[in-house]
Amino acid sequence: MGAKLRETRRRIRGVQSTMKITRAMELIATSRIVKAQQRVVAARPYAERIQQALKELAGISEAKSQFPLLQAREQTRTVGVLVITSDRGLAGGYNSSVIRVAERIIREAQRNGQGYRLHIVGKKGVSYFRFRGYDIASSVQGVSDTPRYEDAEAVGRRLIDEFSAGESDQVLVAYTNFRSAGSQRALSTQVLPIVKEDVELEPGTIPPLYEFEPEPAAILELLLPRYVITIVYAAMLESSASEHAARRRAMKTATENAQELLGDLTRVANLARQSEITTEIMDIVGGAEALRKQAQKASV
Amino acid sequence: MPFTVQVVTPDREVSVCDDAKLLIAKGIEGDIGIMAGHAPVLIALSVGPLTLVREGDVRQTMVVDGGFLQMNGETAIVLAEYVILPQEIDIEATRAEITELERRIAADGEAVEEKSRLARAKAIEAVHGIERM
Repeated sequence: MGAKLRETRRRIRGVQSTMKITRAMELIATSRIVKAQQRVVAARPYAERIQQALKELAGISEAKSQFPLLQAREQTRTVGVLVITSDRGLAGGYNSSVIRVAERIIREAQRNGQGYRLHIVGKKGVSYFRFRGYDIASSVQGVSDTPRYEDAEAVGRRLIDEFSAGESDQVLVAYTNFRSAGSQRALSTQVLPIVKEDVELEPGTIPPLYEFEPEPAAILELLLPRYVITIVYAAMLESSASEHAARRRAMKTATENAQELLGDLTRVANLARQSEITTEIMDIVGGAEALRKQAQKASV
Repeated sequence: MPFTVQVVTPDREVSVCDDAKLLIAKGIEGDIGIMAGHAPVLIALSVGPLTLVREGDVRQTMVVDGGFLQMNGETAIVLAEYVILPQEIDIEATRAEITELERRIAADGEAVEEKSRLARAKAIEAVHGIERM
C-alpha cells in the first residue's frame, strides 16, 4: 500500500473516532436539555407564588421603605455582578457571550467611577476573569450543570449580605436566558434592590384580606430574601438549560463538519487507491508487452 | 367539608390530597390548626412537622422548612423551601445524616448551613417516631 493511501486512511480513522465522540456528546446534551427545561418549569410555581404573596403584602404594609432590600440607593458606589457560566467547555459561544455581558457591566461601572464586586458561578468564568486580573469576590464551581436550590440559596444569601452591609449598592446578574432549545440569549437583570414594579400590585387591584401571622412586616422580612433567591435560582436553571442547548448545537456542527471531512478524505483515499492500481496495471502491462516483444524477436 | 392541600417548593408542585379535614402546622408564633372554610391566612412556619388529618381520620405528617402556609377557603398551600413528604422519609439515611452533621458542627461551631440541616433532620426523625405510634 502506498504512503499516501495509508496516511489518508489513518486520518479517516481519526476523524471517525472524533465524530463518534461529538455525536455522543450531542445526544447526551439533547437529553439533558429536556431535563434542564423541566427544572426551569418546575421552579416557576414557587417563584410565582412568592412573588404574588409579596405583591399582596406590599400593598398592605405601608412602611415598605423600611426594607433595605426594596430601597434604591441614592448613589451607587459599587456594583455587584453575578455571572453564571459553565464548568465545561465545548459549548460554542455560550460562555463568551455571558462573559461579554458581565464585562460590559464592569466596564460601565468603572467608567462611572464605581467599584465592582464580581461573583462567579462556573469554572469557565473563574478562569477567564482570573486570567485577566479581575478582582473576584466569590466563586462557586461544580454546580452549573444541574443547579440545586441550596446552591442558589448560598449564592443569593451572599449577595443579600453584601448588599445589606453596604458593600454593594446595586446587584446585577448576567446569565443566559433560555427561550427555546433553538434560541438562548445572554443578558443581565437587576437582583438588588428588588425592582419595585415586580412586587407591586397592578393599580386598581384590591389585595385579598389575609390574616397574617406574624404581622405583615415580619412576613415581608422573610419573603424578600426568598424572592431574591428565586431570581438567582431561575437564572441558574435557565443558564443550565442554555448550556446544554448550546453544547448540543456546537456538537451537532462538529459532527456535521466531521462528516463532510470524512467525505473529502474518502475521495482522496479512493483517488490514491485508483492511481496505485493504475500504476500496478501499467507495470504488469509494460512487463507483458516486453515479454511479448521478446518472444516475437525470438520467433523471427 | 374537605379541602385541598398543595405543596409548592422550588423543585416541584405536589397535590398532597383533596380530602383534608384538619391541618396542624407549626407557625413561628405557635401551633395553628386549620379546617375548611378558615379565613384567608398567611402564616410563616418554622422548621417542623405539618400534620394533616384526612377523611376517615387518616393522619399524615410531613416536614417543612422555611415555609409559609397560605389558606384561602378550599385550598391550603404550603409554600416552602424544603418539604419532605411522609412517603419520602428514609429514617436510616436521616439518622446517618444527623450523626454526620453533629460531628461537623462539633468540629466547627459556626457551620450555619449544617445547623439548619440538622434541625431539619431532627424534625424528620421526630416525625418518624410519631408516624409509628
